Amino acid sequence: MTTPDALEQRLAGLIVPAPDPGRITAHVLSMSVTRPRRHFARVAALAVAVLVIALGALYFVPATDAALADTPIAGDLLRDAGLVGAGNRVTAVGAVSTSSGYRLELVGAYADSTRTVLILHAEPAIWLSASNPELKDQFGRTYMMRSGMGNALTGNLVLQFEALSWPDSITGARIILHMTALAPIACVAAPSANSEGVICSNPGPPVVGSWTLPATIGVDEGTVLALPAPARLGSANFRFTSVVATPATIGVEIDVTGMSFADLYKIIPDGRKGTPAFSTDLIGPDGVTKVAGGGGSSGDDLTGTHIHIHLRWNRDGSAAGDYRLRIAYIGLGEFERVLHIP
Amino acid sequence: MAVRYSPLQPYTERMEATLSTTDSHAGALTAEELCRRYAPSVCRFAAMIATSSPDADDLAQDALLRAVRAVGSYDSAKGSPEAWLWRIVVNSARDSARRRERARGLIERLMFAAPRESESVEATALANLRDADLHAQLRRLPHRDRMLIALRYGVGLETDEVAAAVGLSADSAGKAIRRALARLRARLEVTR
Repeated sequence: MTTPDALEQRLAGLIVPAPDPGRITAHVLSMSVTRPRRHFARVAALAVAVLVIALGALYFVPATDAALADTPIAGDLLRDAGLVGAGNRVTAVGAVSTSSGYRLELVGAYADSTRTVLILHAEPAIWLSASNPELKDQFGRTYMMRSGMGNALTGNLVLQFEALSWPDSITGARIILHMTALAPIACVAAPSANSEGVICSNPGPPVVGSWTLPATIGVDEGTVLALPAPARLGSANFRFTSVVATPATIGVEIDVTGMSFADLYKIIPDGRKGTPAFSTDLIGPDGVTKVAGGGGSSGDDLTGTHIHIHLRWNRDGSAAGDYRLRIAYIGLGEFERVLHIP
Repeated sequence: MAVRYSPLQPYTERMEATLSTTDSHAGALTAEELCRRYAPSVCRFAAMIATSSPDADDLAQDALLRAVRAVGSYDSAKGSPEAWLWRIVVNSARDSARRRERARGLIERLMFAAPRESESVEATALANLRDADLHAQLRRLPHRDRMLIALRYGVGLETDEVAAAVGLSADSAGKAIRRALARLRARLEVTR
């Protein structure tokens, strides 16, 4: 017959590694003590706080007169940046930095809730491969570069970085683009005419230097749209978590369960390069399929059974209206959702 | 008229009221006195109920801080300081557990499967059981069981005091403590 007494006695005398009461007491009392304050002291503290916040705002919040200014930026650059139709929302910057014989100009900048775009001009033209552009905001946060493209003949460059973080995403930001190496580029006339009539190559090692280009940019506020209904393809569930539209961009975010990364990036052999099993298309009100401006996916774990997809399309001047988002998976089918873009 | 609520102002006023009440009641429960008297018990309770040492630290600190901040609201006409304190500590532990809620269905079921053994066998086994092992098994019990055992045996409260702290009748608290002990015993037998 068991008796609870033995166990109860052991529990009553149980030696456990308890927190040190002295240490806990000291910590608790230090956290709890506040000195009695008089009313004027509170008012004074409030005034000081307001002053500090105001000064902080003056320092950290970009000057609004520089934001979203009109700027005469060439159409081909805007097209490369996916900013056709949104040229008047690009901030003119004009910052110049010269080092090691290379002159870089930050011509313009654009930011919205999906991306940060910098438009540069290099003289002489540079190759992007050896560049290591670092973009920081006034808080010292670094933003990753997502993509870049350059024109070897004109020296124009478009660099796309991830979207600004809060509070920059509301107030705009004072940013600094810093580069420490550039790859030279040399173009010669092609022996047989190609489309440009020239052949460009990288003639030597990277040019080391220091190029610092500051800018103050505003943020093109996005319109958050109603979420489309969830959908299912085979055993995969698609749940929309965000749809945001700006004059230049449409961004869609989707949570996917029941599909692995391997499924998502599966290529169906077709005797050539293969066809992606998973595809997304956005068809504008004019019936034209929009050019994907970027996107990617991330997962919760190694198996990738919970995947988050973010998609972005450039509007390229498309008007407001109903856009059709078509998501398809070869062998499983497809579904469409209508996005009412203002 | 729209009224904007600022959480900072009421909090500051509450703190000042708490401290001034405490200061004006010399001889009554003060924050320092509360800590001096009860910090060891709260720390022991936290160690028995938490599933890890860092959690025990957090729980002891959180519970004691809540009590210190509320010390001005303690009314001796409504009960002993111990009853008031342990209600705060139990609520703190419950909040902490909610934050760390985990499935423990398997452990709950073990008590029905475990066989009973003779008094001498159990007494011998218990005598050979190290405190650390007993503590480890205690930590695997459901949160409610750990709380009841910690209050009854870790802190040394009587059953009616445990009942007041957890919001049960004395009879229900007694039964709940016995069930908690049974589950602990079953766990010890299974692991033996």
